[in-house]
Amino acid sequence: MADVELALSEEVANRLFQQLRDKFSASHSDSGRFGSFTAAYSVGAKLKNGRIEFQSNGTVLIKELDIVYDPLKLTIGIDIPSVTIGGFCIIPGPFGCFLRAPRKTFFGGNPDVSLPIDLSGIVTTEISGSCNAQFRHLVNPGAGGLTPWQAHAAGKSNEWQLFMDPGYIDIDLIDIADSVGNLVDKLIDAFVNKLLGFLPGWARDLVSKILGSLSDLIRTILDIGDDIQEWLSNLLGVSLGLFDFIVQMVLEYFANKTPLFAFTDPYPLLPAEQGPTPSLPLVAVLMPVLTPSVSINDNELAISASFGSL
Amino acid sequence: MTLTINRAALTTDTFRSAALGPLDSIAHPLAPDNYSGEVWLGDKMVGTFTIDAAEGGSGEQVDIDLSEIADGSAKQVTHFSLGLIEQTTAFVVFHCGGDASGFHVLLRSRSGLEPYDTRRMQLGDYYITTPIKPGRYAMKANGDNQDESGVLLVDQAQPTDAPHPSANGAMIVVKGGFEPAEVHIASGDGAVFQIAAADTDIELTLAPTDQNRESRRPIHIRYPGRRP
Repeated sequence: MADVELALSEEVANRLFQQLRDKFSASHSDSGRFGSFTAAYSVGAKLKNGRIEFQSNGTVLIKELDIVYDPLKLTIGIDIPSVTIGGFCIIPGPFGCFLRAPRKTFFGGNPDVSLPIDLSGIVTTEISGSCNAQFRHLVNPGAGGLTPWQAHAAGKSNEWQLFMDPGYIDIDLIDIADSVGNLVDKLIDAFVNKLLGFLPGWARDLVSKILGSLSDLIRTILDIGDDIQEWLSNLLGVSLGLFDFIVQMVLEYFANKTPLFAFTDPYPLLPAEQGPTPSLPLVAVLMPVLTPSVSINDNELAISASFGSL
Repeated sequence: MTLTINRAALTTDTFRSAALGPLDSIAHPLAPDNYSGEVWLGDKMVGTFTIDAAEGGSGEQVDIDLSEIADGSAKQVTHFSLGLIEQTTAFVVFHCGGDASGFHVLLRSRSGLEPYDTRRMQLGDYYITTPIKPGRYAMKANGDNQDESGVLLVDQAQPTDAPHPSANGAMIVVKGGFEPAEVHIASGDGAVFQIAAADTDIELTLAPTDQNRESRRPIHIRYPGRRP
């Protein structure tokens, strides 16, 4: 028979969850080479929306928690092919070319040229998942050598912490704003103008003749098909693994880093008070909490525990 | 972001076979022999090289970048081997990969053939140009006194969706004059001159466009007391 039982309503648990959610922030950067282009990103992630629901099977369901990527700076590096003139055959031979004009490089990029794309706030993923609520005991390393009362007075008591440990999780890319298609198109066009803008018109035409449409070439190098949103989703999610990485950080945050709820062990039943004389204070009444357990039903999350003695 | 742009190519509006630059080159056929060459930039000798031309090869041409020899950056390029197919010649191509203009080459054979000077191209040579600046180029051969013996019209390239590599735009036979005397090519394509007479040199000069000509409007001066 437990000595104490504490019940949290779903409403209270959601307020705790919101505090937990709003404290989350993560940042990361990574890069990769994919065929003839490179991509690098730096991202900051925040959590928005979402709520928790108690389940009759004893789990907590996190519903529709949005991960907002803001800032999200994607930089794509492209090798612009050299524009060479010459190289054509003058005297064909039976086994190839007997005399060929030398090749001359007219225009080229060295090293990669960069196409920066600011996707801040444009991409959102959503996670939902079922979690087991678990208590874990935190031994405060600062309490070593202190009595429980000294540790309590110094704010270095051990703790029981209630974590939400995700079991299964669903990740959905819920939104890449429609405007991203136009954004990428405009960026590529502006990039091409910047790249060639200093050349006289006839030289720009020559580059376009030898390479074909540079905008089309960049789209081909990047393997952008008809659907820019799908391309971007694959690049960020599959090629760069951004979504998986951030989701792992979110899961780690809930499962191990930040508890939903915590209380000190031993628990102060009565605080320290002034005694009859200043030299004789009344110490706090501390009760060790023994193996608290959690049970969840549709309506509430109940914590029960027994007290030990010091 | 670092872009490399061949500025010399952008501004080249004169081509002289006697003074090779970034957009022209000379192909000269060699018979089996050992050759020693001198690279000259204007009136200064800036480098030397040797060529061993021997039968038993594929007949593949050898390209010699005169600017690499001139600035000493050439790696193992001071000695070249040219493998000829039996009883044929193979070409050595003198070109300039850098920005400088004004190169010529003197080539002597060990067997004592008459020295070859690129300033006086010989029968069997090819002078290869790839003009990129659009416009009307006057063609002259052997420093003739006429304004032009022929016309090379370089059209502005037409941008296309699909890539189009540089092509051989025209083959012009040079024997005193030019045949044909008027040629159209597109910017970036080649105009190749097949030399059919000894001691030939060629000069192409871009005519200034109307927009580039200096304004020659009459100047009106108003004198005080006189009606305009």
